Amino acid sequence: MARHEVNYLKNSGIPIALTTIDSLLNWGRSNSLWPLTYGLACCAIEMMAAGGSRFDFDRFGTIFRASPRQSDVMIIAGTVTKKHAEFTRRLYDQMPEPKWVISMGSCANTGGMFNTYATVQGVDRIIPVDIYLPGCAPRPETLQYALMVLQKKIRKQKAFKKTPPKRLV
Amino acid sequence: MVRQNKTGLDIQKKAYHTDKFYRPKEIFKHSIIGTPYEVIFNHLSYEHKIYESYIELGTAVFWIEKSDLLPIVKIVKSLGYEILSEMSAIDMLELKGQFEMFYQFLSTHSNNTDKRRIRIKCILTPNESIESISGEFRCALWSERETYDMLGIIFEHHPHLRRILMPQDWVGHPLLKSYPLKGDESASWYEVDKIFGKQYRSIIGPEQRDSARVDEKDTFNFARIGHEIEKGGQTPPVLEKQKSQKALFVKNLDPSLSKVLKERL
Repeated sequence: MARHEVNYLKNSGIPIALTTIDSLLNWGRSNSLWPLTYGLACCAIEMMAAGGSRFDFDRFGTIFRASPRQSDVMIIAGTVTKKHAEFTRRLYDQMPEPKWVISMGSCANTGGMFNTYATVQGVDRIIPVDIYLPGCAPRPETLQYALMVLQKKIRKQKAFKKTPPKRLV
Repeated sequence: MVRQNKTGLDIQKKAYHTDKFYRPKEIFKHSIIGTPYEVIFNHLSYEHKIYESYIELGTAVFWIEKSDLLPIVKIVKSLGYEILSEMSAIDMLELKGQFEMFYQFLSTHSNNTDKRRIRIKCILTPNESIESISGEFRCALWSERETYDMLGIIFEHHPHLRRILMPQDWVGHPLLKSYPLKGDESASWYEVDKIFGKQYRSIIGPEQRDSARVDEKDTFNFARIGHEIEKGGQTPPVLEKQKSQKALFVKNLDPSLSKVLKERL
């Protein structure tokens, strides 16, 4: 069997990459965002399509996780009713830090067309939102872009800095 | 032509079903005498009082006494009407000061081909309760819970009469015509009170129901489009490249001219 000898000097480089712990950690975090599957209405169909093979979230390292205990990001896809608000908050509280929230679609952002007694008028009344994704319902590409914006945001963060509690509304 | 508004002086205070323009056409009501439904009528009126009976769009309607409901439902079931397709109440409090209960029955028996659908109706005053028919028709378990939830009507001898659509601690009954469409005071704070407690009301603020609203005073979310920074972060300096490459019709924003307000004005 032939021996594979790598000539590092040939490429005038050494097998060492210099980086900071911050960027290493943020690289790891941003490229393995596991969303909590939290589909509530029609937006959830678009979210499922984004997870499917045509749009393929897996190549972002994004794998939908059906448990809040190992999730990093909560994608709230759809209308949050007032009866459901308590459970939404409970699931958010069960997610480990650091955690992020994408509010997907008009209903989650502002209550959308459901300007009624039973709908939460914007999910940011109960949990802090990082990315507001407009549209009714947004296309899977839009969700991909939102995820990329979130990755960018994570890469900008200081990995060990204690983040202040996020703002509601 | 603009329709004249004569009566609506304070239309906002009225219940919204009193539309001053729309008046639905009354449906033509046939007499029940001489139709196949007459047999049913004879069965029911043999022991019980029938106030009114007519045929409306092929459905026989019988107005009965509230206390006769359960025995009449039993008779109706024995006559082959074994499907309770719908039941609920109609809020007529504004117009007549009462609820109208309705129970729609459907028969699939071959000897009922010419008399498929009947409707039993009775009147209920706001403080009265009514007998549950869930012993005869199990699908009424859910319908009666829904009627209780949405209109506040209490059904006697229902095994577990509690809310079904709204949360257990919801205040008010949303299908009443007097219930505001966008909810009352407690509805607008429901999730905040439930999750954070009442002391958080001032922190979170009232519901913002205009989805098209742009808050000009908000310097954190959308008012600084193109120069978004995190709360408390420093405004980045304008890049030289951005200054030189100015696209057509696009105004270069100067972040140094924008202000971050400490609090809302």
